[in-house]
Amino acid sequence: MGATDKARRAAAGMAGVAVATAGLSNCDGTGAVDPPPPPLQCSDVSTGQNLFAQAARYDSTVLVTIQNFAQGGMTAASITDTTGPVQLLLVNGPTPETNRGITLVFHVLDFQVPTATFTLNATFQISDGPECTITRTFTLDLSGGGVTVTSDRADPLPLGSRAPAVIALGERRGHRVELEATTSYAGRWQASWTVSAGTLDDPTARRVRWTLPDEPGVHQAELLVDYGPDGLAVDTIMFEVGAA
Amino acid sequence: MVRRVALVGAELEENLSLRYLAASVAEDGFRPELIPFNAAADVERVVARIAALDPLVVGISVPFQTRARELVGLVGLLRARGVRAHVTLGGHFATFEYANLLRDFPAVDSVVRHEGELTLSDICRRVRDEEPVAGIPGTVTRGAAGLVDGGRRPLPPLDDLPFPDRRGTPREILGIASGPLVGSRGCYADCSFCCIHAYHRNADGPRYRTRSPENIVAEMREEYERRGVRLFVFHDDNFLVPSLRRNLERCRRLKKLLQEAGLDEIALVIKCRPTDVHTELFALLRSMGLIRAYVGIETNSDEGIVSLNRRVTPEDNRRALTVLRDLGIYCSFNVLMFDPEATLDGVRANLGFMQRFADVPFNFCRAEVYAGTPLKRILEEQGRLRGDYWAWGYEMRDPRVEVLFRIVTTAFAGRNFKSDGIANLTLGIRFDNEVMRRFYPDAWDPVWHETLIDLTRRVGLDSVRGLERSLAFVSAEDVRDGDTVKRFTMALCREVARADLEFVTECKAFRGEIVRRIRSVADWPVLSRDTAPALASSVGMGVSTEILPVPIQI
Repeated sequence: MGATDKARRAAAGMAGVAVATAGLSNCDGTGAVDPPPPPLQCSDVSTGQNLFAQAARYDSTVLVTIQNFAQGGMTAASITDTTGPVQLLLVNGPTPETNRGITLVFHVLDFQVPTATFTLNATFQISDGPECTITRTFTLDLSGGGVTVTSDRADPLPLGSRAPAVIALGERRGHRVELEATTSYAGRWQASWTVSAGTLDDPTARRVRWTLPDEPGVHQAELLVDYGPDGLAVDTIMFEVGAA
Repeated sequence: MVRRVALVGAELEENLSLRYLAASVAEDGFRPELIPFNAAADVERVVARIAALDPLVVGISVPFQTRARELVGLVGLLRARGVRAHVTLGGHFATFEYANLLRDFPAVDSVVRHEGELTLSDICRRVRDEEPVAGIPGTVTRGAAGLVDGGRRPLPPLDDLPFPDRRGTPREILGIASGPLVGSRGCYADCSFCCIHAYHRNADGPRYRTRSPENIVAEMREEYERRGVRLFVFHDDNFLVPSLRRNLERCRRLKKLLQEAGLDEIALVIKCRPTDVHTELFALLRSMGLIRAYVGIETNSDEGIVSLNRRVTPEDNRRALTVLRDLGIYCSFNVLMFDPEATLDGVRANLGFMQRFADVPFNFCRAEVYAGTPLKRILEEQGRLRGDYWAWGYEMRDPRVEVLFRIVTTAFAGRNFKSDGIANLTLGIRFDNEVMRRFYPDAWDPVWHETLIDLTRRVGLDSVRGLERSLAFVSAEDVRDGDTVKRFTMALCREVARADLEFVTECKAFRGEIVRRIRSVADWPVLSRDTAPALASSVGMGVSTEILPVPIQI
């Protein structure tokens, strides 16, 4: 049976497994649909998301690393408005080699005061696109001889990221299909999968194998991507198992 | 030697903007080549094709922000491949963002502002004759002292333009050849969010121009006779003017000319504003073959009507859909549920409207900020505009409405925005039904028709229920509590996905029934083109299931 014949059999729903929505009319310039615009995704750089800070303390020295997980490289940075019991000693980066972030070194002046803050003013550039500037304030908690660093959120409301999750279709063999979770979100994220029928090899992996049932019908895999405090995104894919 | 001009853009359908340009440069003795660029995955093929053509000029159509980065990014890749052609950008986005684009993309040679037919032809002639492009009306280029703005080019009468290039085979729907066309450009209204209004108001000429009925029918006749097109999809941003008398006169003239040309067995699709829907006019349009009208409802909330500058009333909206329902004309609408001034009461008003007209396929989304629009200017003045020129955004004034928007956008992302989401599939199956009703009347019956309306209603009401629950949630809960909001959203996502599985299953069965019904009344060899290669997927491509050539099947 040639490829075309195979396609026709699937088209007729006679046998095999095919993406369920195949062949249905939709937004394709046939005059059937005027699709609404999906929300535009603002540049993550200009909204100041995707900056992650970590801190370590060595007695009176505090090392802060601010990593940039956004698409754009940090091209310039300055620290202003330092408050509390710390003195800024060193700003390392960004350089062309380290344009994903900067390292800061603070000296702790007073062990009795538990909180310090500083403000990062940084410039980013997405590939050959425009430059964007952002300002973020970070807080150091020095209590108990340790250190943690937190920052004001770029977006104080929940579900700040609108990066969509997209299921990429991988290898297909018999009733087994390989699906991969993809997203443009640049921070840390976790995938989880559920299916309406059949089995998954690992429901929390980014790439999963879904074994569809033998029973004819339309079956669905749902991907939920968790962006932590920035929210979540969902995508689904449906396959139809044809009658034998 | 005839020099080539490569015209790049989406070609999900016959892209009239590129095809008008192609016709224009062809008239001037150049050889236009249409280079479809439908998705990011096409980029290598597009670059290789253009490099192989060695064109004199490359024109890239950048209509919206949505794919702007992808389209403009092509220029650098072309240069890296050794393409030395003059590269010009055009379209709505480039018209307004020319300064940013010429600053950030040194590989771009010029930007064509507003309608480009005459300007592009001028560019091609100058480049061919090795004369400077700078200063051509309608262009912006770089000069030693900064940008060189050639000034606005007066808009030409539409009847003076050659008909668009119609190379290729027309798309078919259930065996009926279809073709897009425009009978006018622009819109008489001035909605604050609308890029069409912004684009034409910024140009040198009337913001709404029409072709003569004679000119339109001449093109339709050519399409009918040469390519067998019977389904004419008018892509006019607004098919009508705010005068019943003038609309009746124009449509009566069109009908007479169509009849004289022998174009009786055809179907029409149009878009309009609710204020222009009148029983007499639409009865006339129905007699001409109208099978679908997209009605720009946009909002039914009082504050939305004001902030979006709609210049309609909720009564206009209600009346328009009631007139079309009474006439049995299939229509659909979209609701800009969220805008910068949206309130919970406004959302309630929109939900009430959606519930009342749930038998009409609808969708809902946020008013997006497009370049050059009053909405962008207002938000900028208020200090509320976020993002950058690639993608603007804003937060609604009321944080509960903002979180409501975020919840429903997350939960309804698949249903509303994917081309094979159930909102679009419902529109598709209803349209298929109207095509069947018009061209295979023996296959259609009122009971079947009601079955499809029932599916529409259930999909619509399911969306309304999810929205109402979300509205109740943000009204009662602390919307700044990220964990609670996330839990609610996650549960809603799952509910919507499960409902969609059932709806898609039904939709597939209905499509099968349409095919069965038509086969029972018609000898249908055309199925081979309409159905067999159509069985591909839009998965991950953001385009139609009906145009991808490779079936996904194992």
